[in-house]
Amino acid sequence: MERISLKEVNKSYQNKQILKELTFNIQGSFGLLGPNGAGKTTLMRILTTLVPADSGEITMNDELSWKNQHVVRSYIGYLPQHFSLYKNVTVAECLLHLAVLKGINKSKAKEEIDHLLQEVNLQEHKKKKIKQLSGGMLRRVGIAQALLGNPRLLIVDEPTVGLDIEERVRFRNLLRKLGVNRTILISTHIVEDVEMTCDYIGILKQGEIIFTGKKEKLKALVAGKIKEELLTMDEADAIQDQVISVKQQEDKCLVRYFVEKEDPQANVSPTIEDAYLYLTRKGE
Amino acid sequence: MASVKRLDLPFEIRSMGVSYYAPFVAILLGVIYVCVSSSPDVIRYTSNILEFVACPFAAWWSMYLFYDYYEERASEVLFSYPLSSFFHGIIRVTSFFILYLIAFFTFLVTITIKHPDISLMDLSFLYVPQTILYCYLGFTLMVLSRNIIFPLLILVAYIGMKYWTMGGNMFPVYNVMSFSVDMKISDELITLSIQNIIIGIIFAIIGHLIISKRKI
Repeated sequence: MERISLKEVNKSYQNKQILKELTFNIQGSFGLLGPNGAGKTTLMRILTTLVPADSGEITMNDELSWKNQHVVRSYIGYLPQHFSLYKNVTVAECLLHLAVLKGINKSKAKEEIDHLLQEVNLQEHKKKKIKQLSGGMLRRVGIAQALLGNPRLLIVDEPTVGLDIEERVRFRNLLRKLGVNRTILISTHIVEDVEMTCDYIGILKQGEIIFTGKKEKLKALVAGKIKEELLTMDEADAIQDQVISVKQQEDKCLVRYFVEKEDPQANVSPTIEDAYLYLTRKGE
Repeated sequence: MASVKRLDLPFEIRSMGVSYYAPFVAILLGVIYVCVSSSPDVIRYTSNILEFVACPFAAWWSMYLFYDYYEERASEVLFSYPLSSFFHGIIRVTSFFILYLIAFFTFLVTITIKHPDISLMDLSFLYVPQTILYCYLGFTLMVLSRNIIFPLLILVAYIGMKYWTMGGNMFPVYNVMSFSVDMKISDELITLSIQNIIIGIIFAIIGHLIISKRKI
């Protein structure tokens, strides 16, 4: 599997620094988490060669440099946050055209498209026009076009935004399956997307990478720092900066929160969301 | 140039939908007018149809080729493919321009058949340079604004003002049109045609630079 290395990558727009000295590796199924405005989409666009970095270096397996844009593009498949195109043509026609644009010859492309449509469960919709598809189906066409040519690196930006719950679960399962034999980078602000589809996680906050590593390593950061107890609403309000979640239970609330000092009762097993909130709130 | 093989005009045509047919409709109406009109001013009116309707339609496909790129925001996907900016811009636009020229020449040939005293060579020298300019002006305005309405408005406003003032000082902007009443070439009009070609090429270069520098 491929390893993408970023070294001191910077990017500014109109004197505002969006990405600051990013240095980390992307491997396996990698989830890039971060709040809105953290710089995730900018980083995706740099990785897909749509915008250049101001400085720094990006390489694949320490061999291929991102300066060779044309070669890099032949190794990546990209599904952006907003995917919509060629509304007047059918799914099969659209994918065939995109395959030819990627440089796949027509006869080989037809076989590949049949296989991909099966993989994304769109075989029976291939004669539908793009404008007739639901949001979830459109995302699946998007992932099929990204997979054309069997790219070494698959980049997916905000995979489940705008999908209903059922489609969201289906799309996550698909991403999980796709990440088995290739490097896949998923950028999202929805923790559940990453929790269900990725083995490695990176957290981006205000343009800086504040964590990279395995899911277990992330969870370990907050082990022994989370407590859950029944509190009144007033008590919960008093510690609102530490609160992770609140569940109404008759006249009281089950509150999950971070403890400030060591507490033997803070033994709740942590989730990715706990760790993500802990890291992103730090210093605020 | 290997990427030329990836051009798929039938697909681009299907993806444009009914918008694709607009230039053909404009040219067809011009041809019908030339064939059926018995007006004593038919040459002058035909010249107006050529300059104010048929030639500006050279910009139509140059703009609509980028409708999906910018209005549907497909540019983010398409520019991540292993294709050059030259392919996305100049090659696609020029391919459709050649298609447009075929239809345009049909119109010119019809004129010369109906009015044998008018030379096809003169018509070509007068009007083809105008189509080159409009074609690449449409391309540049589209990639600059990333919006179909802006270039359409600019073109309609320009053509409307030029028709209204007939190239006079009330609208002191460069005249693409020759305002020829007999559709015959002169030294002055040859200069205009050369200028139009040069401006067209400049627009093509500007459009290409924009698309190369700014992908989304």
